Amino acid sequence: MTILQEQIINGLTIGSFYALVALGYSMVYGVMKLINFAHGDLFSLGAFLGYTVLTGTSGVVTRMFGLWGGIACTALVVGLSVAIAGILMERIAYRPVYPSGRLSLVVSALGMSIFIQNAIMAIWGARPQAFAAAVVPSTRLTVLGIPVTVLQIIILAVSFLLMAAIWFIVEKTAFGASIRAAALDRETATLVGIDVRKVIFFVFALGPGLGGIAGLMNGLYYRSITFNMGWNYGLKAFTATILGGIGNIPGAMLGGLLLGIFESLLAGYVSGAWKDVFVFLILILTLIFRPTGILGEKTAEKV
Amino acid sequence: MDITKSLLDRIAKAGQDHEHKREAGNDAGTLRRARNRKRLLVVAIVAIAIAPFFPFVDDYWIDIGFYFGIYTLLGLSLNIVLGEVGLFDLGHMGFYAIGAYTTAILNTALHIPIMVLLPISAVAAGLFAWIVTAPVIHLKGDYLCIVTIGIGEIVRLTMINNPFGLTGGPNGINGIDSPMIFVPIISSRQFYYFVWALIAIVIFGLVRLQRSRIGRAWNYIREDETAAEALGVDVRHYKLAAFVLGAAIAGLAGNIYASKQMSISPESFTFMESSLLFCIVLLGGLGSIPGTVLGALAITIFPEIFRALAQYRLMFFGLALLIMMVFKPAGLMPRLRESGEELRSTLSKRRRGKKATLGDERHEVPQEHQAPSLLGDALLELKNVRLSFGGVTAVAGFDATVEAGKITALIGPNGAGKTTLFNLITGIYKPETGTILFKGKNIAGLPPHVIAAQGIARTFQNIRIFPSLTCLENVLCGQHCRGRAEFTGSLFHVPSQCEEEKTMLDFSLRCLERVGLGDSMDNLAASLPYGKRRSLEIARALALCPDLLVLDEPSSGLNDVETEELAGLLLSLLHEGLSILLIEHDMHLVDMVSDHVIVMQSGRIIAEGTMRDMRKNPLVIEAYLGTEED
Repeated sequence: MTILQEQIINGLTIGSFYALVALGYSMVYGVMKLINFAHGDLFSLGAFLGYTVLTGTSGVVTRMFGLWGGIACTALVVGLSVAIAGILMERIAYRPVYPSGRLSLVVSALGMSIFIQNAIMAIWGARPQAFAAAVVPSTRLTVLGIPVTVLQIIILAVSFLLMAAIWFIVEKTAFGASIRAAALDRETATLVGIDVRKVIFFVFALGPGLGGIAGLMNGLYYRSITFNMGWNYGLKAFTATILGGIGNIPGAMLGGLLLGIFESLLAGYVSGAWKDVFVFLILILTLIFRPTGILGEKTAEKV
Repeated sequence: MDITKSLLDRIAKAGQDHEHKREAGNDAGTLRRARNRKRLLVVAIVAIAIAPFFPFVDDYWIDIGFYFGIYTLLGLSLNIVLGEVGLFDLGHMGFYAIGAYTTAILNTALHIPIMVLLPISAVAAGLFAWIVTAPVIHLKGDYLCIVTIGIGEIVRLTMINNPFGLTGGPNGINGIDSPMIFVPIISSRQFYYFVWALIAIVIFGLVRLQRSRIGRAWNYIREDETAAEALGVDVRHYKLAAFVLGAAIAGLAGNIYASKQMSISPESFTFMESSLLFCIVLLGGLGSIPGTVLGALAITIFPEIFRALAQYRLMFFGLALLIMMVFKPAGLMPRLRESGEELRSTLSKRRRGKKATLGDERHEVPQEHQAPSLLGDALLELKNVRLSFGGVTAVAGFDATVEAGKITALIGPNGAGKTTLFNLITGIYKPETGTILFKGKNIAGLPPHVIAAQGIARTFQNIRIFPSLTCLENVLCGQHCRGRAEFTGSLFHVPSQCEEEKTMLDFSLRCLERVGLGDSMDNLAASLPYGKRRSLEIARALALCPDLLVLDEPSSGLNDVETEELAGLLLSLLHEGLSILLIEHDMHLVDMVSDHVIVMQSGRIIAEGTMRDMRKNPLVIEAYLGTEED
């Protein structure tokens, strides 16, 4: 019984990383119709920046602000820096290529992914890096008979807060309406006076920002990080996006959490080695039987 | 900051400028470029043939030449799927892996000779591709892309997990034999020539396919899937064929790679490698064979040249990809389209005596599909046809008859359901209820390409031509479903295939001349002005030899002179026995040409008869025509 509960908690934690990364994919895809292959690498970038701030400065941040204060400050720094990286990425790699069509954008995104991944390797090295034990909270608790770490609770709380905030911005505010409009039809949105550039700026700041924070939390959770981990997380998160319905914000969250739990249960009860195969099978089956995802809506092509 | 901004703006502008230049279409420069390419081809062949004999070329560099060959083969195989058909395939390494593992497993376990396994690996990879892509081939763009990534990853993970002890897990399989072609192929130089000889054969075949109805069908799908399907191309069939052929060639590459390495492991077949292949095709230019070779060269040579950069080299590679896409989005060597003469001369080369020029011989187009229909017979009958989108009923129990040998006009206010009705007739939508009888047979619910082949050809309201193909190639699309040549016929230039191809070329040229575009046959469709694009669409529909021509607002966007010409064309087609159904908002044109008018509102017929009757009908006046005083 406890194994099941542990697996679910673990799955929720991983799922919340997927969900945060998936949000970025979904928003960018909505507006740009681009699978931002570099998004997963921004997740790694977040983890490595966090590593440098917390561990690389030999714990100065933690000593100054305390364990949790240090992490909060780091999250802020990481979120902002990765958001800036996202904006730069859009400026350098996507905006100039946009007129040349979808295929060129895909190559540009792949190029960006290769660039960021190898830049991380060049800076932090090819071997895994570990967050120092001193900067990672390790308090354990038992909630309703289930053993959890405080870190897990905080990760889940922060993820849900961030997701709720994004949901509120996109679904309930005027600016959110312009994001949704741009996602539905970029040209028409421009015609009715929506500043699509502003929308793009926003999604390329917010998506990577969230991804960066997810990367940091992932680093704290597993402590060990490698330069090429982003690709796997990126692909899983994209699967989550499809699962929930691409371009759909609550869908991305739901897809991420479901995928996390699913993966965790598979690893616990079926086979750890085959779990990724099942994840991709789920992806393909979703696309065959419900291409719009769980929450996606059907759109008709005009002939 | 300002400097950065202006630099970024300039980069953006460079990208756009290039785009404009690319759209400028065909010109004298194309011919010159084609000639330059011939010279380049000779130089390339000689260079590849003698490269291993240069004094400074040691085994290390010959091996690089070998891997250049492997990437060329893989690039060519992906180019079929991605370049010719425009399907985003980011899991192509999976097919390569299937080929390599087939060879490795069968060779180490059963000791089947490598050369026997060469075709077997190709078949295995092709079969695998068919099995895994058949259920997903209908997915569009990015969705298919994600599925192919999934397929590639599933293959790699399966190999790592060592099912039934077959794949050797993460360490892979060792001790694979060398191939044997009279002598054992062992040295670097032997492998180098082996792979390049195979590439020569593959390229020979691919060039022939490019210039056949199969290659063109692939390109039609890439340019506009809906239009291709509506003009008689079996889109699903050709997409699957591309995947199977692409995978088979990747399987060949897998076989050679396995025997050269003598061992294989899953880490050679990662997503990173698949994305490299993707970049090879895009770097070279979509659908361009010389471009793909060049792309493969760039990918293999880059890491060698920048060895000094060591661990930074992939970083710079990523940047290089980006810069390429900004400044040369069409690739290093974009695909050049063949002129009509070139298409023709490839077919006649082996014939003795004079070379016939295009259009000299007038072939009769076999029209066995045309059942004789008499003037006034019901050619198309719609009975109780209904379709709704969500809660909106677009076509509500529609009954109508289109008579043979007449021009029937469908008029009505915007949103009346006219185009939806056209989409039902041509099979793009399936009706919820009702029957659509064409020449007495029910065609309701049949796929568009089948309906087209039965003799209904259409044009589109918002023009759907194939922009980056020549006008002649555009029109050849209509002839596609009248041809029979498949892969073997196209590859080996079987006489009947050559004859058929010539007939298609001649007939298409006549269709072009018919609409006054004979002189533009070798121009890219994208270079035509708006009015001519409409004519091109009509020529393409005519090339199908239809019984019924279905035109969706043919005069929209035309000036008065062009509209007059259109009326003349429609009337002369009518005299030749063609029946026409058109949607039109230009009442003057409807007046001039139509024998029968059907007025539609909210998915129903509100009146029908001659235009003169309609002008007096109060219902029609209220719903659509309005009164003079308005």
